[in-house]
Amino acid sequence: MGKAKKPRRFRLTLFLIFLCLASAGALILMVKDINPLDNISLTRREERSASSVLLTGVKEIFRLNTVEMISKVVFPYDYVPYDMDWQQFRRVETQRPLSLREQEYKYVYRLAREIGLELEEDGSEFMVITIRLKAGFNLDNSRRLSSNTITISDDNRVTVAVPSATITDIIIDDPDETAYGYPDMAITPEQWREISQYIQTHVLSSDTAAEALRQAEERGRAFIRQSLQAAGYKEVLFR
Amino acid sequence: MKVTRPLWVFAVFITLSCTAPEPVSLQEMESGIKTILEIPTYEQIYRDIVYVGKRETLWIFRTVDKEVLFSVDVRVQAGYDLTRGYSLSRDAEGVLEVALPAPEILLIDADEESINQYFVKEKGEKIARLEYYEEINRQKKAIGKQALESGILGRAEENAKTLLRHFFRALGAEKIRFIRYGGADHG
Repeated sequence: MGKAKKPRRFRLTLFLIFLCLASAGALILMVKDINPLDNISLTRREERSASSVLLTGVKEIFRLNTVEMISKVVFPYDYVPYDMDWQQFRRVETQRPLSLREQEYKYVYRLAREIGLELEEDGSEFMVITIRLKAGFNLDNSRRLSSNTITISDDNRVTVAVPSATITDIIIDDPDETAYGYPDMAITPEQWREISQYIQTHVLSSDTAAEALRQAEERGRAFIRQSLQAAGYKEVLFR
Repeated sequence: MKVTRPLWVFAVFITLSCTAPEPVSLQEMESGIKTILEIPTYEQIYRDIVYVGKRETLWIFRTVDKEVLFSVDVRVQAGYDLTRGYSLSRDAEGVLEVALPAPEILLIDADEESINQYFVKEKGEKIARLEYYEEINRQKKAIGKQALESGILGRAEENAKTLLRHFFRALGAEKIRFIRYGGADHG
């Protein structure tokens, strides 16, 4: 009797060993990253990206940029309060006309919804965006400078007609995976275009832009004055 | 009476060294304001057509299938960064010497406003921003190289000289010579 039990136990052990090996093998096959036999993997991953470029246009530009203002914004929470009571907001909306700021909130709410951000819920999705605003002078007409633009008087004084400072460029920095340490955000290129347009419009109407213009004019004039005075002019005036 | 006078009447031999890479002040750093002295004079626009796709299958079941195709314009701006140093000087013959640094690419940037999305497919996972920017950034290096090969710096230099010639002629300087700041004569 004892002899009959031994082979049965042996077969059971063998079966268990086989089961363990098969399970381990299946596990290995399911995890693609450590699977050397890619062709028989249960999971398959395929990534492809491509791009091609073509020169489509050239532009002659004549500018003097004197100021750059760098700011970082968080979308959407720099544009709507994080703890906004949206239910209350909807009630208010039905009771009275929205103020300009409230209309802005509503617009951001719609933008956020389009990209799948539910602001009513405790959301943790956000984007940190770096904006560079350049200000200075558009000198397109300066190629046709004449004595009307610059006049020199007998007493060695020069009067320069400097154009008003303008925002010459708004640059939204392209995010780089190696430098952008925050979580990535699911957003299609089209949705991103819409959000970046909103951010640009917002920054143009902000105090930052007004300050950039003021500083650009001040620093631009200082640069011209310094250069011309060093070139021998006693006084440099602007009109 | 107001007259336009040549500069050399006032200064026979004036040398102005305007090397101005001033240290950024604490106030500037706090406000994010930076003094720059850039003269961008030439811009090229490249159209980048970007495709990003990802598929994942578990046995015979497709768990992730996402792809996007879009185009975006990449701007390449070239000109002068005068914070690298510049100077104006006048020799005994009244020739105005304008020393400029080497022209350079000042900006390579994808213009978000120009994005034109052809299609997007998001099954099982959504398209994320860094995924397509990785491809755009990879292409930006090639665009910079292509811009240099197409002679963007030469065109930028030419335009800057035209601009400055008009400016200094309006100030009465008849003869102008451009030299490389800290280097050789280049017309």
